[in-house]
Amino acid sequence: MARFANAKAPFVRLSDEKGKDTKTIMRDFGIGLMLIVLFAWYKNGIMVYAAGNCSFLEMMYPLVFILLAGFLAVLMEGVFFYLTNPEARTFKGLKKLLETSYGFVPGVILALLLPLYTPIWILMFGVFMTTIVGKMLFGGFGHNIFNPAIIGRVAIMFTVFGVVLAAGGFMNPNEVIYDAYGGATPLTLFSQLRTINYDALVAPYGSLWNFFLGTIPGSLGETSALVIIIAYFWFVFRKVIKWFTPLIYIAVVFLLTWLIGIVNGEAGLWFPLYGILSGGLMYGAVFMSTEPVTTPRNPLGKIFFALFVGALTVLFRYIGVFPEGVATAIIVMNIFTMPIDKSTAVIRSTGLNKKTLVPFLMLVLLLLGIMVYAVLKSIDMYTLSTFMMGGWF
Amino acid sequence: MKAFFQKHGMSSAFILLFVLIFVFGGMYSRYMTNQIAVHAENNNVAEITHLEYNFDLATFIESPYIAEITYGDNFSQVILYIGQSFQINGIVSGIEPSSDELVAIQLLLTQEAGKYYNDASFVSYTPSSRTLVVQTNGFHGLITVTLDFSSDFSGVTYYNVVSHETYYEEHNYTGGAVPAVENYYMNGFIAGNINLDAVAGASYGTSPAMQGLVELLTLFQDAQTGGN
Repeated sequence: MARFANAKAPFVRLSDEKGKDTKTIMRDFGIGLMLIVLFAWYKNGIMVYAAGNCSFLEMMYPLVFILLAGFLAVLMEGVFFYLTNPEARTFKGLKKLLETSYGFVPGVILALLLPLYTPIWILMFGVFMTTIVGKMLFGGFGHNIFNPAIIGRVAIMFTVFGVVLAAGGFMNPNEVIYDAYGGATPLTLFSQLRTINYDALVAPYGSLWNFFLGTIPGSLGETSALVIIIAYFWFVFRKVIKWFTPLIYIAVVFLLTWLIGIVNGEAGLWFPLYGILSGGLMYGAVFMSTEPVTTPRNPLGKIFFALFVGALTVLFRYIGVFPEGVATAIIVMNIFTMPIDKSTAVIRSTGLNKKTLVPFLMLVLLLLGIMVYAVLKSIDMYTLSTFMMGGWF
Repeated sequence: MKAFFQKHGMSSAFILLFVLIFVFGGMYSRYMTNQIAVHAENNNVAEITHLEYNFDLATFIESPYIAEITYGDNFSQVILYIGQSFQINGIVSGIEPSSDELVAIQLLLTQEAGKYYNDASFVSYTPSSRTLVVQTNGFHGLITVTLDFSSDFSGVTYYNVVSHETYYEEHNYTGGAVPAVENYYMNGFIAGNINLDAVAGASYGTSPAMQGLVELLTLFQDAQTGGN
């Protein structure tokens, strides 16, 4: 196992299934991704059109937006190959390179992470950051250190997100018309109110069932837990991902959020459910924390990766500038993929002994430290919030 | 020209594609953004034409507000009883909205509630003794006052500040015995002095709360006596 650590991914166990290769994995992944694309189109286009709240052109926009992101990603990879690789100076040579680069996928994943009203020029910028900066400059498919789509998303968040919000943000026309929540997504509302109250956090969107179905405001592909869970089962069935990585990630966020609720006086299960069903957690857990290139290769490494991403997601939701912590948590952990992979591969192959016990304990202690810090920060926040509200109102 | 395209054909195609996507994509996303305003205008299904206190002695405790609403494509009008939390309690007069329109009107009222909300509110009223209980949000908590009006509502025969602030000990207020600030405003109201200054030294939450209460009581009294 140790020999695979830090090597190029994804790995295919050809000995297990004949005729299975990277193309098969990417095809199966694409099928799962297509489910999310179709739901995003249904929720933000077809459903709105059926309710008579938008024109045909508006109905088509979500689908055009997502497919255009994929097309742009392929186009930018084509330009990169054309400029850097003499083989790509002919159409045939370029086609061959593009076929094994799978540029369409990160483009589509990025589009699903963005709000409906993201202007196309910002999408072009995001795809550039995703494809060129996040992927091609590291050597292309299988060599990137960071999840390319998250690089694009974070670049947009930190630079031009105000423009996205000014252009319309997250709300589709149905949500604008029946807007009982003041134009905010659930996590934005949470970051503004800083309260653990069902009536304030969940009731404006109906119930948690709506969170599960995905009929709440949010980025194009992240709202429906139901569709993401279907995609998860498909991936597990087709052995595209390891089944435990998303489960551990989500379980950590659930338990830590529950603990935060308890120490802040709200022991109801609705709060941890709200925590895992809001924002991009489900989408990030299934589609990004399982990415074979930028996450550890061995199972123990994947477990540690998922544990850390879960703890950091909760922490960033409480201390970060932005309401969501999924993208930032995954990208931070991408940095540590290599050392985690290496140390856990050694632990896995030699077992816990004098040599491996210290790094193992260090990982465990660091993880516990982050979790405790997240809980403490939440107490600070609610105490401060209560104090300020009591003093001002 | 042919030689140029043979040499630069692919790069020209790349540039052309990017320009086309930039221009037409930009137009498409601009169209989407512009449509938001169009939807907002088309779906402005309800508007609060007028909102005022309800001082009808039979209904004002349950529904302290009355709202006149214009709604629907035909600009229909309805007057509604509105509760303290701005929930619709019933129809006073006008064309009854459909259930969908009622949902839209309720959403509108919920959104607009903050514009009209007054910290002071009615708690209960006993017709036989004309005893009114009112409350307001002070600095620390609720200030509750009980009043007995005279038979023609022209005066107050008795009042009692049931719960009050504790600023005297906490803020070194030296204006008099607790509840001095509440008494100051209530005595002002009984004497007909409604534009009372804030009390220096009292917590900054108490004065505006009591000013709001006196304003509400004055409106109530005026409505019962036929005054302004």
